Amino acid sequence: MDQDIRELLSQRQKDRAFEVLLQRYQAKVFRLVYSIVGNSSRAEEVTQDSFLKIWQALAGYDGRAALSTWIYTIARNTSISHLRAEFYRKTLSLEEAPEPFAKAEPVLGRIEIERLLTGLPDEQREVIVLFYLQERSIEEVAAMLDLPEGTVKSHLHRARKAMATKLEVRR
Amino acid sequence: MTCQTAQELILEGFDCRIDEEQQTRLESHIAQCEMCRSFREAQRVLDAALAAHCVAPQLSPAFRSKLAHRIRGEKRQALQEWLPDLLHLGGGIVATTACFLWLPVAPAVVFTVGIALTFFSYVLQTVFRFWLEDLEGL
Repeated sequence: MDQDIRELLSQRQKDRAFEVLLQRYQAKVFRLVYSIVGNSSRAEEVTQDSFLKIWQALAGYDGRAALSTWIYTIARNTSISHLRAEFYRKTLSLEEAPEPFAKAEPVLGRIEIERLLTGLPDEQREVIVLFYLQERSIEEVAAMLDLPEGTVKSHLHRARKAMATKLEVRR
Repeated sequence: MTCQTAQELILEGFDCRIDEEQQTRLESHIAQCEMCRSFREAQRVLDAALAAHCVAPQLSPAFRSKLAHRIRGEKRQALQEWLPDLLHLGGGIVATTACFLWLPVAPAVVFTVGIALTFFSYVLQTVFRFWLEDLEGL
């Protein structure tokens, strides 16, 4: 996996390697960032920042970790830094309020689902959102969050149980 | 099968496929257990709602061009950072070569003095740049 990018890097073709990497990972990184920051326009900004950092560090990539792990780590750290900066600025205007994760009409009310997701601990919310964004691939979610598959499953189960319990209590 | 095992299997079923034998045992448990039946129903509703709710967003069409613009800016900045060093080295080489060609001094002396002066002025320039950066930072 990603052998072509590694070869381009070893041939010192950084720009070409980055082009291939961007093509392969931009959508995945965007979804990962979106699952953390919860707003598509902010997620796009953070994805830009992440890829800029990846471009800056690409020549120094030593191949010890898998390229995907390295990329997802940069994206996660950039997202977390962004959230921290946001928290300190405390400028949550109405425009920047977390947007719903979809526009489709769900079985449960959109606001209700949003409330249930917001009530989850961060790691459970990230896992469950990413699970659906990544078309239910536990393997992919585990790689993106650098967690063992068992931990991803356990977060999913806890999140589902907690959400169902809250739903019961409200009804 | 206990209710706890049944509920774990129900949740497992939303993450991945469970084997036929487990499925059969689960169905027979659910047929007799009202609590697990309603648990499964609640989870089905939740799963459908989450699947409809968590739709992958799309990057805007301008994403690539904006990123390319930022990368070009980074490249320019990197060049600007190196430019004084490159100019300094080039100047040192030109000055030393000119002295070698026109001054009636032994080449070894010209090159030694040229290298020493280039190095010394480089240190001075670096100190001066750091000092300017400190001033800007204040």
